[in-house]
Amino acid sequence: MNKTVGEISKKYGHIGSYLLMTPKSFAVFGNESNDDMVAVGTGKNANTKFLIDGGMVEINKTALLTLIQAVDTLTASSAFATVLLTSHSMGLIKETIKKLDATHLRIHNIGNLVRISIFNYRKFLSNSLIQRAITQKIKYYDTDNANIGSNFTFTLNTNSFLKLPNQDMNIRVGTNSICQFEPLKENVKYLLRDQEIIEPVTTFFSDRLACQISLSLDPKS
Amino acid sequence: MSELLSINDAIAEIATSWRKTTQAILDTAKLLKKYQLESNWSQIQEKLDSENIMKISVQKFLLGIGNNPVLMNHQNYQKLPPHYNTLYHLSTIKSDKLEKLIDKDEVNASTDLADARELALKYSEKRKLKASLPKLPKVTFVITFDTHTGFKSKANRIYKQLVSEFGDEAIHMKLDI
Repeated sequence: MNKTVGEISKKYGHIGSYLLMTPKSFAVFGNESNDDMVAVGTGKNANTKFLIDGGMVEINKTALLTLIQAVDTLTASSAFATVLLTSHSMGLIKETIKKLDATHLRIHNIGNLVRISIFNYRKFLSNSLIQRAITQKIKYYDTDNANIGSNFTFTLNTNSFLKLPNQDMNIRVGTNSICQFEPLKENVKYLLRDQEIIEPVTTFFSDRLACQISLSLDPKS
Repeated sequence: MSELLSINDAIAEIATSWRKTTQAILDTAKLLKKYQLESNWSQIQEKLDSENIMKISVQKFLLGIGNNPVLMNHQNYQKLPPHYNTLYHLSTIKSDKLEKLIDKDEVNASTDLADARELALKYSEKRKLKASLPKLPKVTFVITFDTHTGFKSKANRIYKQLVSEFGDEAIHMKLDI
């Protein structure tokens, strides 16, 4: 389908102000608050061009080619796993991010189960802890609607996650530190980079006590 | 007698043929699931679409189906509807719940798209995120004021005092007018 610059900017402008268009595809990126995120889609365009804030930028062909190749390599990778999240789950996770003022969410597997832990990393840092009450709350979402090839952990920036549409989402956790989010009703891929942060909490199920145990370091101690 | 036999034969023949549709959908979902982890998945996906074999939107439906362990269980094949969009909506139901629905025959080969959507919606709305920390003890105070005049500012003063003592995440104020 033919997509004009205007249409792409209107739909994906919140992802970034940089737009790369090739005869077969487009890529949007370059927002400071979510510079870990790129949206790539397909479309027929007359020629290759690079735009910033809707205005054409003249760059030499070699640089343009390097940029196109760099975008292509983001999706060319094998995957650790794929997970399906419904629009309802996406909404639930976003709501929790806002409630906890969460900075990150971590997708990881526990055997055949995929767990999404949502946390505010600032609460675990002693130098940024200003409140008297310590609320190292972590919420998690579990699903077994997944295809797990091998063990993995992948942490996302919540600012970027909040920019994803509330649709059923096929998530592909790549081995190249890129996670692809493919909405069911859109022919586009949202690529998010791994933030390599793990919440400093150990959570496990105790058979002896028959309950879930969480151990966390107190930043005040 | 022979008429009855021929009816049964006809039903068996039609049912076997019809069930092959479900089998084909689930087998294709299994194949897509297998290749989805490969490094050239993006190219496979695009080629299936550009060569008009399978649209990307249909691939996504089948991948959702392929990820669901209950739908992919061979023992359930005959109990499932032969439509990929109906199966997709069923795939969004948590697997333990879906297993029970199949066992109770609430999901069967004649389940249609509307039923599947309704079930998916019903069971997804019940999902809540769990907290990794246990529930903490809670105290509720009820303060009744004599008049409406200035009750909000009085309540705010009390709230601020409690927040300064215990932090804003520990205090929840509810005004009942």
